[in-house]
Amino acid sequence: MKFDTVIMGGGLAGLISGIYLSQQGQRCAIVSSGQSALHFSSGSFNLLNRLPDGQPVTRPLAAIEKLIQVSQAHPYAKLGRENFESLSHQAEQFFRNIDIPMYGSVEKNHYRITPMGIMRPTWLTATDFVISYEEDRLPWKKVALFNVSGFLDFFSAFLIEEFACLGTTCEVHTLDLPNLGRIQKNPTELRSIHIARVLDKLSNRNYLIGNLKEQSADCDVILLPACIGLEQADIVPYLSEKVEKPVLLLPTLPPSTVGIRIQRFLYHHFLSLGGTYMLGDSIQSGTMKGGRIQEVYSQNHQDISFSANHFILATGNYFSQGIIASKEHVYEPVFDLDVAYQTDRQQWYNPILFKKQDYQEFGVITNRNFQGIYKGERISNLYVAGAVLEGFNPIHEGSGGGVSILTALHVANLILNT
Amino acid sequence: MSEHKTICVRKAKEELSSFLNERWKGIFPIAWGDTLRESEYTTWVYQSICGLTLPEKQETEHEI
Repeated sequence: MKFDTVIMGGGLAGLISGIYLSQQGQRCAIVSSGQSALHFSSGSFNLLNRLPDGQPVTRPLAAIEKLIQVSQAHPYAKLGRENFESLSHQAEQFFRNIDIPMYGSVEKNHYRITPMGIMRPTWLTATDFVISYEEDRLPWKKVALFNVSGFLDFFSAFLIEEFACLGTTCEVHTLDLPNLGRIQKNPTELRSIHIARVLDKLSNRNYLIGNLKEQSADCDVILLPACIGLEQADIVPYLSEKVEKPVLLLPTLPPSTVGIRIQRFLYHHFLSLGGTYMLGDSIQSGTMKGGRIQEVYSQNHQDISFSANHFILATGNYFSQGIIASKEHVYEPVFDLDVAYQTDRQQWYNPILFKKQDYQEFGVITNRNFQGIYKGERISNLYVAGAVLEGFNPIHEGSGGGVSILTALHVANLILNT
Repeated sequence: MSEHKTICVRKAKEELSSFLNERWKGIFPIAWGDTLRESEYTTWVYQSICGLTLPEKQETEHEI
């Protein structure tokens, strides 16, 4: 099978690069095992919340020069300040126009509310979700907080307490959904997506509207857990209109309905642009000649190779096995590309869980053009994007979404310009 | 009564953080392969998504 570009990995980075290349007329194939960090997204993407030394960042654009100085191997350093800025704007524009729009700006981080009610800085947040522009307060004095009875992945007690510290009082109400009966028998199995399937149904719409309206008389806003809007776009604005009061969402523990929605949208968008998406498959190896990848082989397609002018490795980190750690070493399983890691395993960890863990920084080494390196030699038609990259700590810095999106757009540009 | 409930909630978060931290101490000596994958996932969910951190007093206890 021949394509212009073959993309290994169907998560955020893979889909973004596939969409962008397809928009510019390329015939692309994405080969995906099906895993994506989007499935446990909070509804927000982080660009830069802290510098590597731990210093908090309010304005990513103002902080980027400092990051580039101290972290030469960081994906943002390889992009450079100008690209960082223009790609951020490009990404913002793209995500404003998808069917689950997002707001935010590289100029200044806003705050999202976590499932535990804690305020955290972030770059882009889905517009259905609660945000604040201040760290010490919310936009309302009194909120009506609804939960679904038996749903354990939403912590109203934590939210009430944290909101009280911000000067906002919560009135808590429970939604009893009769149709949940069967799954509700095992509350540990009741997940946000099960509830969404019920709440999204047209037949339950009036029940929902009635309940929300009745129980929010003197509140400024209605807040629901993010277990709605899986199948149905615009359901939250629709509810706001019918209830005649703003309705917004708060995130739950995974699975993330909004994350799955975003992933589905990107997937369908890619297909609609003529892309080929091989789900449940993974690239296992490739043949290299003259410093170029000639073709790659997948698990499902066996002898039938994928050949292309260019290849993108966007296979993710340990969780999706883009990077594998054995007892002695860390490696990239498809091409055995050069990986940056510490040979002394004791250096991989900090005994305090919430401190910076160095193993999270390991990843595939690239040159400044994001080209993969094999035994010190650059592979000229293999580009690397997303979480699989070396040189950054997505959890400590709060940079996961930004690295995936910006490097995906950038390598697509590099491919188009060769 | 509501004050009592507030204290309980704060303590619940601290106890969760503390539990996760104690568990990590037992896990990291063997954290490679699938164990490392699971640790990465756990850290993502609790620290990144939920925004949990170590309570300050425990942080100073552990500093060497």
